[in-house]
Amino acid sequence: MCAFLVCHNALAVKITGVTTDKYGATIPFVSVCEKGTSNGTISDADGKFEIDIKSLPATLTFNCVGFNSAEKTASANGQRLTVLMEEEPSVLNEVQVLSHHHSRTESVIIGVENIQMAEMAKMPALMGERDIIKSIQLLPGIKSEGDGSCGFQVRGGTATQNLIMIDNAVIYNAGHLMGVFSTFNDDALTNASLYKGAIPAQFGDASSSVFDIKTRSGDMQEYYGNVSIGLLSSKFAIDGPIVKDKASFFIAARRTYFEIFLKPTKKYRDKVFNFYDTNSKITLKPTESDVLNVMFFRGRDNMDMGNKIAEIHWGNTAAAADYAHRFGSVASAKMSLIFSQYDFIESMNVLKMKVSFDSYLRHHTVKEDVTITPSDNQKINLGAMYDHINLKSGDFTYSNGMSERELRRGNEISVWAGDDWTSDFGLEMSAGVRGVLFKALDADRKEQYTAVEPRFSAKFQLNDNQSIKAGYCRTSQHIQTLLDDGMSSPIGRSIMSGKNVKPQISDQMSIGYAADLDDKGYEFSVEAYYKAIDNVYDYKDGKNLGSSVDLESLILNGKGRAYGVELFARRDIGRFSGWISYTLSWSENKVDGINNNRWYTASNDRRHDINIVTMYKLNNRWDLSATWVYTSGQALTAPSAKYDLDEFTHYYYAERNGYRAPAYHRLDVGVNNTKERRRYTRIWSFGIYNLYNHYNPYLITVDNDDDKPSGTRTEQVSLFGLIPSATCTVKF
Amino acid sequence: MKRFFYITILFAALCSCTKEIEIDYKDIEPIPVIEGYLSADMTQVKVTRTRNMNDSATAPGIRVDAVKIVMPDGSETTLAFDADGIYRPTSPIALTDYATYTLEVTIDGVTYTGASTLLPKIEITEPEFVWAELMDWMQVLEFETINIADGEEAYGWVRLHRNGELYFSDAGKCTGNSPFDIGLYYDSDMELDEEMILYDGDTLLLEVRHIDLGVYNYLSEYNSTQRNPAQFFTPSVEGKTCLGYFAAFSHVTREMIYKKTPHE
Repeated sequence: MCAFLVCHNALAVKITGVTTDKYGATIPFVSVCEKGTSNGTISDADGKFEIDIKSLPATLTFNCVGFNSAEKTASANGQRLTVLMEEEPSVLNEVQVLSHHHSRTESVIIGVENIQMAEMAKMPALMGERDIIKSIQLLPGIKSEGDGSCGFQVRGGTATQNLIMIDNAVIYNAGHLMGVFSTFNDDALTNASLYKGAIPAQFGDASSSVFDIKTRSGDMQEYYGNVSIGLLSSKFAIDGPIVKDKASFFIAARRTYFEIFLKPTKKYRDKVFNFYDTNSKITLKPTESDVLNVMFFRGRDNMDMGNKIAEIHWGNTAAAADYAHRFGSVASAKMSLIFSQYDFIESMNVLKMKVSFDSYLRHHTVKEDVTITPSDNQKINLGAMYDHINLKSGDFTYSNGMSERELRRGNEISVWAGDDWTSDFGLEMSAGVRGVLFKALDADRKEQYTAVEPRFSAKFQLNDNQSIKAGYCRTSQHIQTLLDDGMSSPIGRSIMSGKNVKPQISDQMSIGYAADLDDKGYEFSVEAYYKAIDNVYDYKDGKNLGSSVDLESLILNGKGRAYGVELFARRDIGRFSGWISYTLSWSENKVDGINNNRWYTASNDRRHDINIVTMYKLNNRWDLSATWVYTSGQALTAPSAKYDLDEFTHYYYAERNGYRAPAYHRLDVGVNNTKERRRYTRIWSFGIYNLYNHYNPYLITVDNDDDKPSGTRTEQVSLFGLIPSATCTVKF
Repeated sequence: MKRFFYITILFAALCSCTKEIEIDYKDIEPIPVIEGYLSADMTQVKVTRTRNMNDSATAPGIRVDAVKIVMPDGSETTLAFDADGIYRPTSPIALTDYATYTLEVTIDGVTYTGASTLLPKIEITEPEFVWAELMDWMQVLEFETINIADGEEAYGWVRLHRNGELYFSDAGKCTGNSPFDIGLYYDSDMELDEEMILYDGDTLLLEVRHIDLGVYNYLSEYNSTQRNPAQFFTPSVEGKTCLGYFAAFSHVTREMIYKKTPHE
């Protein structure tokens, strides 16, 4: 009996703690290992960890990409460690995109991609730019809308059902140059989380996913910077202390100079094609318990055919201030004031024709978040948010000065409570509820909607290396942007919940299994989901965004459903790393008035989606990478008959999305050459996008052709063939 | 290095392409197509059917059970079969501005009904050929409406014939008097649609039809989206489909001889 007790005590030595950086910010997904053994774990999304060790004293090692390794000695059972990790200077400015090893096994939330950002720097880049949005599209359940769009589709949803936030500010249409680049400069980002399954209670307003992106703060001790020069754009970032340990700044900016290549041509020399974006942040830390951040972001695209004949401008502007205070070791609170705006302006000024169209979406938001950690096994999150929304869905001005516009206003109040709880027997739960009150304020369409949105995710750890998960999530979305032909674009018009438009309500259930082979660095997961969405809107037959200023008169109400299975296998230890992801999915809509009121394939339905990502570290100077992407063809509305009217041939569309476009696939390769000097690091990055020059469908057109026996010519327009790129980056 | 940049950009641009693909188009049962006009100098109804995507021949006109126009006073005028699916009145029809006329076409026992209101002429200025510089120089035919009151909505159906063949056709909306700019062709060294290029001596006939909102909606819908326009005709049997429109209109015309002028 005595021997048993001794033995039991020896196995029950439990060490807990938290991993933080030098500012006190927690570091998620740090690998924690008992030195000299294969025993290990990983810190959770809040940097907390718990490890059972065999004997005392024990040395624990802590590793995380972007930080120097750290060691701590545990000497007492139940000891709580605070592990301070220092950032690695050479990779300080790198953004890292991919889910860390073990995160799928360890994370209690099902369907979350916790995005650190290291391997992104090793992956092939498009036109020299590494891009957080392009990179997440390589993960399971997340698909690109296609070339020419920065929109991504998550678990059968459309791109407009995703909520993208940068430091809590909402961003719409997050793409530059019609989607060639994302609007986010990777130099300015620190981490991100994409919630595609069980969305935590503090997030709402998204039927499909929440992409929560955090920007960098400046270093409080030293100055750092980097400059990148690419073929089409260049960027820089610089940060450092304003007052050491008390205040810091961060500035990053990026601009394309595509126009330079047009200058030598007579035809295009006065044309404007450019984009820019800028991120800046000031961080103040008056005491050890208080942090104030003030952030500003602006991204802008400009196109002008010359002499203001035809202009298009669009972009996002966001500003946020948040003040965080820590109440001892148990509680913390953060208050945020946020402004964000997306606007689009288009005008034509040809001869006597002077027409313009503009629209905007504006948020003024106040948010309060409180986190209470009563014990190591529990974390409670409470919060409230007020959001005032102004929407101008369209303002048409005509040549004779007449104009028509549609303006909408709404208030949204949300409150939430969430509880993360860990048992002693391998069960972890994250449960919460969000209450939403939305009020449409316009006199002619006043309406009020309330919603109670339960959120739940649970994980049961089968053993050290395997876990099973399940989750349920309900969300509502009050701003819906309508898609033309299934693809998001800067010009897309939006509707707001009100008397004639109901909020989109999404219910999703998911289950999953994750396993890893600790010593080999392999990880495997499978997740299945079913999602039902009410109040999906689509254009009536013959209508599009320009048919009328009264957008609500152009649309039909319906519902959607999506289901699928996601497989993921990964290796992230050793010289050769990478992953394979495969998604099998279905996405369907049912809208009264379309396709005889039957369920029909949604425009974003893609049956198979395969991503293979490989990275090979040749030595300390060279690393190589390759990515292969395959996606089934997008559902396509093509005609089933033609007819003659007014001396021209027209087409009859028997059903919406009744055809399939050809499949999309491409291979990208990249190589990085890194040279470390005493004062700086220089990286040359070369890449080839679409190595085998496969023409992927961007647009499919049907035209009358009298030279063909059938009289019909069907053409596929492709946007990008093989594109080489080169970028030189210097970090100091 | 600079040369490398230019070559790279040029290479990328050249790689973008258009290629012909095959789609296995689904065949459907033919659907009736009605093209009806009512005006002071042209009243006729043409009835055809849709054809499969792989049929090259123009759809032949069809004989139907009956074609009638119901006058504003409720009286009916039956149109007689002429040729190739075209039906015409046997005697002139007296027309009144702002009156609504109804076309009834009975096909295989199903009657399709559509109404249109006759509106007075839209007067226009003398059209001019001008050049506009977009990506390239574009030849534009420009004119303005002159008799639409401020704030009044009017819908014009602009048609341009070149040497007797329809060259351009589109519907536009005006709120008060408005300019119309019809883009004709680009004067460019790029690969162009040769059929669109105008040559000295071409005879052009501009026609501006004043149409009502229902006809405008139909025309603008089939020209602007890859979806079917809302059905113009109401069938007597629920679930039956019919394409086309019935347009009562008055119109003005202008004839011109094209002569190219320099643009720079």
